[in-house]
Amino acid sequence: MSLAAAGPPLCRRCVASAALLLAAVAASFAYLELPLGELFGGRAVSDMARFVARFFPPDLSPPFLAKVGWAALETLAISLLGTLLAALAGAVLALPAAGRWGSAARLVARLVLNGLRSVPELVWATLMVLAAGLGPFAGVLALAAHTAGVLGRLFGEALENVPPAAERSLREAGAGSLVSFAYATLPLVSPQWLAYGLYRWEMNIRMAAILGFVGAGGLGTLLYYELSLFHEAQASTVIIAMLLLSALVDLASAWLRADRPGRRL
Amino acid sequence: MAAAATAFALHGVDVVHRNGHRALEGLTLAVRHGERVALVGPSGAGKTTLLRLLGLSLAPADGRFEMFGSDPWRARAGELRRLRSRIGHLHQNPPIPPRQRVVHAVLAGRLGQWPWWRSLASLLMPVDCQGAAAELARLDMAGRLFERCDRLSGGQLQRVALARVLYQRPQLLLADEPVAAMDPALAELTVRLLNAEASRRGVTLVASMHAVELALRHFERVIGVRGGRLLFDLPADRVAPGRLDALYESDPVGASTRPAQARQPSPTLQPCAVVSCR
Amino acid sequence: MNPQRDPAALSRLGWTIAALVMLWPVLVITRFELATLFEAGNLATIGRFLAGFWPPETSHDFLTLLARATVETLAMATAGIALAWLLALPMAFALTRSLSPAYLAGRRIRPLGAAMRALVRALLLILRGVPELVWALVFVRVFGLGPAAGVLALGVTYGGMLGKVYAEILESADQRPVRALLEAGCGRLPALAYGLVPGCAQELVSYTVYRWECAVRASVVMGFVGAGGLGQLMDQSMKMLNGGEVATILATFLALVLSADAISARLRGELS
Repeated sequence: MSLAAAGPPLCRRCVASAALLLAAVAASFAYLELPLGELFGGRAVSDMARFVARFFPPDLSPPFLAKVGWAALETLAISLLGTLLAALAGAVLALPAAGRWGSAARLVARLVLNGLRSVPELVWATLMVLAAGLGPFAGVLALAAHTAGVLGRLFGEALENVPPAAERSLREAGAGSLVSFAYATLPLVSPQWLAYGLYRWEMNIRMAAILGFVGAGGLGTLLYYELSLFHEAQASTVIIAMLLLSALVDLASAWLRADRPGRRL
Repeated sequence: MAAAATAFALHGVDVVHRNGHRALEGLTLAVRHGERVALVGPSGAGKTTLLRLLGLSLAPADGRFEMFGSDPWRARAGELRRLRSRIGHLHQNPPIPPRQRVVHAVLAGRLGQWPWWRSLASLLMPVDCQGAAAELARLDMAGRLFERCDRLSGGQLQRVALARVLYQRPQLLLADEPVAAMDPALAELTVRLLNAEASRRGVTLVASMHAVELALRHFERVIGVRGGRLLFDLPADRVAPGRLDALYESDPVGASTRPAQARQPSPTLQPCAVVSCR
Repeated sequence: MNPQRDPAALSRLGWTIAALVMLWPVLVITRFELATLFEAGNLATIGRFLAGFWPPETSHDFLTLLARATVETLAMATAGIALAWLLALPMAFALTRSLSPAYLAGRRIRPLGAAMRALVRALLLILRGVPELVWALVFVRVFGLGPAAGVLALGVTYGGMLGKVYAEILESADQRPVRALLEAGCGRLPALAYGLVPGCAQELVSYTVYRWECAVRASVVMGFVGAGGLGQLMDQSMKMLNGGEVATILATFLALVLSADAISARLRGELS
């Protein structure tokens, strides 16, 4: 193809996709019938400013701070327990998903993992609130269900990439399958499994903070409650707590990763 | 030959791989308890297949095969596992996870004999440090019991693997090219150690060897395999150079029909040259 | 010292005990009681609900509603990303140091410029540090129920993310063309457009497409706080314990998320 021929069609394609994009955006705004004038007009700005002003100053009275602290602790606990349970379930599901128990078990395990993974945490939370009632326990189960799907898939992939020689040599010496796995394959995959688990825990801390919107405990419950009563000062304290928690997690994970050069992810 | 003294016996055994390749043909062979046997032969001759057959990883397609006086492939699963736990394996590359500590790597030798709960408990709290330490001490590795395996050199790791297989207290010890990756001095040392430990404990030893000269020097009995068949089976001091020439004689037609193996030919050629010089 | 004593045993025991002791308050705080799952009342509720999953609801009215909600979800994601883009552009422009003539000349950046950058950085941090669902919840209080809150929430959070990542991409790009343009007396905006963007356009677009995919996932659940889309429909069906409707919505969820995945992967594959 000559250069001259290659030039214009490419540009036509650029223009076409740009137009398509613009049309999609315009259609989106039009379909939603967003009150753009109301959102960005002068009155909206002053309304918004007044609304934002109501969030300040945040409520820093000791009793409320204690309440927020407890909710933050609850959030941490939900994320920790949810991730732990997910890691356990993920490990159990990863064994068949890596094809260790035959191809039928592999297919079933992958189907289960995909199902667990594709339903978002918040949807799991609404289901779990039905099953376990309002409160942090439902949050734990919701996080565990979604994360088990994610971790199971990652764990299974790690398992598939491990050289089988170590485990085979133990099987050849008469060891059982569980024991051979624990002595040969587990030490090979455990650093990777641990890294995946920590990474998911980090994400789950943030997620646990908002699961409360559907009644699954933690900071989210508090925020939902205060906002529905139009207690903006209290809500702003909770939002600040969320920001702080998220920043702390960032710092901790950066520190952990810098501290251990061998741990990649 | 008294039946009680026989470690294993093969009578007209064929092994056919899944791809249809006939790796062993009509093999007849008996080895008594406590014998030390070297398997020699060119790459692709069937040495590894024979070792896997003896290790009860492969079942024979045809013929009679007896291990410790019973047919392993007629035994039930539990019995097969018990038979396997009496057989030790030494590999060219020690199959030990790098992050495992030496103590667990050695204790892993007896996983086939321990109940599962004892094996798992040992991971938390090593159950027989003394036993593992004793095996390591014999191999000049006394102080390394609680080190991680990735801190050891290749030769040390090989000795950990040897300590593991000795700790297993097997009645039959199989070694597939145990020294192929070592420099000559270390290879000599390891083969001597292997034979010394085997004869001290009365363990039957079967090792495939690329270095023919080493095999002749340290083993009692040498078996030549080629193209899946037994070429000779002689005491080490009666293996004539002509036999070895025939064993390693290059055979382009035969070589091309055999499956290619990712091994360097030099270790086989070099001892061959040494032997024919004598 | 006894050489056969495991030196790691004591610390291992200590850690195990510490972990168990730590686990106890966690179980208490989260009110972890498996028994509640099997209480007769809960079991009956969830059983009846799950039994309702089959057959999924396929009545014409409901499907129309569902289609409208699905389109609304997609439109929310698209409009949200467009808004985020508008928000991110000036901030990334302000943050990119390589567009500063002072930086170019090797001088220290003026305090005013430095302060402005710090301000923009802090703003971006707050915008993306607060989860989109929290923004949505806040905006619902201002603008009422409906997709407007969702679009704004997406715009704000993803604006923060896009702004940060755009600036990072622009700063890691090859600086020579833009330097040449600035030295030739070119203004900052044209220098950005002609010197920096062409070199990393692909990366910028690819990241934006990826964020759109994330926005689709996010807008699917926006409805749980009243910000429109599929989530709102799901919330209503859940509250009425209508299993059949929930089953249909869940299936639509999965289809939507998976196809957004596929479209995004396809677009990004074509770009690289």
